[in-house]
Amino acid sequence: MTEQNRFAQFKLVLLGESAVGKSSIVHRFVKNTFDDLRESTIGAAFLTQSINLPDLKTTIKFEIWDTAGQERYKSLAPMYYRNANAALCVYDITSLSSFNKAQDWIKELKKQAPEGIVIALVGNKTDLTENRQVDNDEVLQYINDLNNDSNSKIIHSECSAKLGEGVLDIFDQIARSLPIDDINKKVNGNKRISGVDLGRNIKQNQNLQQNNSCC
Amino acid sequence: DYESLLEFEESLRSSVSSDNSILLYNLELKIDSNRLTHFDDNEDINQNDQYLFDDLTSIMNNYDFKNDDFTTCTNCGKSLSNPENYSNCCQNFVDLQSTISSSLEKSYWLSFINNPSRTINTLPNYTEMLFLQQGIPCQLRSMIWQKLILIDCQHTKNNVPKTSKLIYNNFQHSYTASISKQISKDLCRTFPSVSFFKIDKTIEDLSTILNVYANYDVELGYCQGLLFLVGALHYHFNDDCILTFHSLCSIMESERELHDIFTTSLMSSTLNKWYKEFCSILSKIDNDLYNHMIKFVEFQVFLFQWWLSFISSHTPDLSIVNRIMDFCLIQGWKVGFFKISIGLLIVNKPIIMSLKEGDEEVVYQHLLNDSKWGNIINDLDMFFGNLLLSWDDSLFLKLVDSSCALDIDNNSQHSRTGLSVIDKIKGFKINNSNSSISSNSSMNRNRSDSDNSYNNSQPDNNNSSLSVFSLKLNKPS
Repeated sequence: MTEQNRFAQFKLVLLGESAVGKSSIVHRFVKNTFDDLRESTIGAAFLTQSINLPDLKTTIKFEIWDTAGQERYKSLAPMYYRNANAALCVYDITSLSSFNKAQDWIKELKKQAPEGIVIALVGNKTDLTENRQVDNDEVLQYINDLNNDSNSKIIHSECSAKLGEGVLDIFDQIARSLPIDDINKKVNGNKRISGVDLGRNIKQNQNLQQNNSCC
Repeated sequence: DYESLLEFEESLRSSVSSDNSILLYNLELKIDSNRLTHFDDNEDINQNDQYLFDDLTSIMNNYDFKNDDFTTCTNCGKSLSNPENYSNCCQNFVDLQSTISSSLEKSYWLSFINNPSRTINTLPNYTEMLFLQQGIPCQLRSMIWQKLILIDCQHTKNNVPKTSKLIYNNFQHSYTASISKQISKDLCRTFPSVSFFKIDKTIEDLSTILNVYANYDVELGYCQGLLFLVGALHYHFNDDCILTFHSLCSIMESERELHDIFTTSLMSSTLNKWYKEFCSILSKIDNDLYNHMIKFVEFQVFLFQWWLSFISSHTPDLSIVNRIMDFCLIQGWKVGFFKISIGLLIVNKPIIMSLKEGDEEVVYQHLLNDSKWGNIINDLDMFFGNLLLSWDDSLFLKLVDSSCALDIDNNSQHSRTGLSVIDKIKGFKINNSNSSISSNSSMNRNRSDSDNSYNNSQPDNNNSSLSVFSLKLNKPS
């Protein structure tokens, strides 16, 4: 039997303080765009994107849940990280408080999230490095301490969603940390490999509805 | 004129089998809520300016579409900010919008402007027809919203009650740093495509309004979703911060559960309560759709986003936001949210029914984004005026009962952590107005009588507003 390209689907959630750039990271990853004027996320947004790992002959599809950052919505967060395979805890390198908040999320995930969840600690906005408040060495120290204490490894990386630097790399690292071999999910052999053609459905819908507009 | 309006109402009543109980109930609720809140302002009693036919005509004719960021051509959806770019359809739209089609309609709006509660009470069918099926003329929207929010503030006419003015002017200090920081993060992210929200003065005004509100309503403080409401209100009331502030207070105070979905302590439990109620109503309205969806979709994922953003996040066109606010102002917020949400699901039923287990992500992507509005944008009147009014009001009436702000007897048992200023103020006023409230069960009661007894029980206006501040200062831990 020739080895076929494997396919696996994973649920990923983004957590972090308000305005650190969670939605911007997702949009850079999914659409390769950046928008200075982004509406704040309420509740959560949902997007999907696949990446190829050619050396492993594997395609990984991420179902991405991009959550609202305000502390206020914290009670809703479990709805999104429940069943998550991976979590991106995002902070803004120009804001120390956002780094503290990201640490809180890691603590919460370790307590509440499914065992084996892949966690990445991501510092965004490296394009504003002149305003940096979060020292990279300090972060590395924190990661080291954490990784020594437990068997799970936390990924750390910095990026700039604005410039598009480092974003893809984060998702690549996460993909490689996911338990692809263990996965025995229903999605294997599923007919849908890539994004779903939503446009077709909308067109169908439009035909079904009467068009009452006049001019 | 009024005679012909009544005649027309009669003909509507016999031809349309529509039930107005939600509309009338909501009106009653808001009037009651306003009577509790606004007892001061003797200074404005003499202001009794009646609107005349000519006033209305001049408002209609002198409207500047160039400066209206929220109104778009209903045909092509283009902004109307640059007349040089108008297509034929845009010009037709502007021409059509610039006149009120019939003298009957003109009479209605005049009657409404001069006496909103009487007009709604006596002409409920025509009210729903004009507000929802035809839509409020964009030239009149600011005024109509103001009238609805200040409905039956008998002593104040067009003016915001003194209490709100005092609070607004005196609470502009000692902002909570974390809240202020959050507000400033969100200000440039509200309706980011609309130029009005990029003006420095707008940002400054909205910041003050939200910070003062957070000082005033310590239980709620600030929640991101509020900006959709406050932004839309302030867009229409833009030269009047106090009116925007007062509107926010009034809306939040008139529906307890609407307030609660934005608070830290009650957000989750209230939203889950709404979710259960929503499912129950949806299953009665469209059991096929409900049964199909519940098999593979988590309703909370999109419902919570919709409700926490006044259904205004991810709207492809701001004229939808106007219509959402119109709808909720006259039908009530919770009922409005529920009806619009059910409408959105029903409009998308063909897509949803074509999907099944394993397709969850398609459902979520569709319902969480602009695309859920699909074809509605081409026929807002049909959606807001027909579909959303096509269900039996009795299904929704029990929602209002439970979210009513005036569950005064239960107020003390309301489980909440931390006492808010609002509760204090409410409690204060309620104590002083028991006589009028206990007699308010009848729809046909003599309103002016109860108002008088209410005013008589207020010994001193200055005292009452002072106590607001002393309560704030003596806030117990």
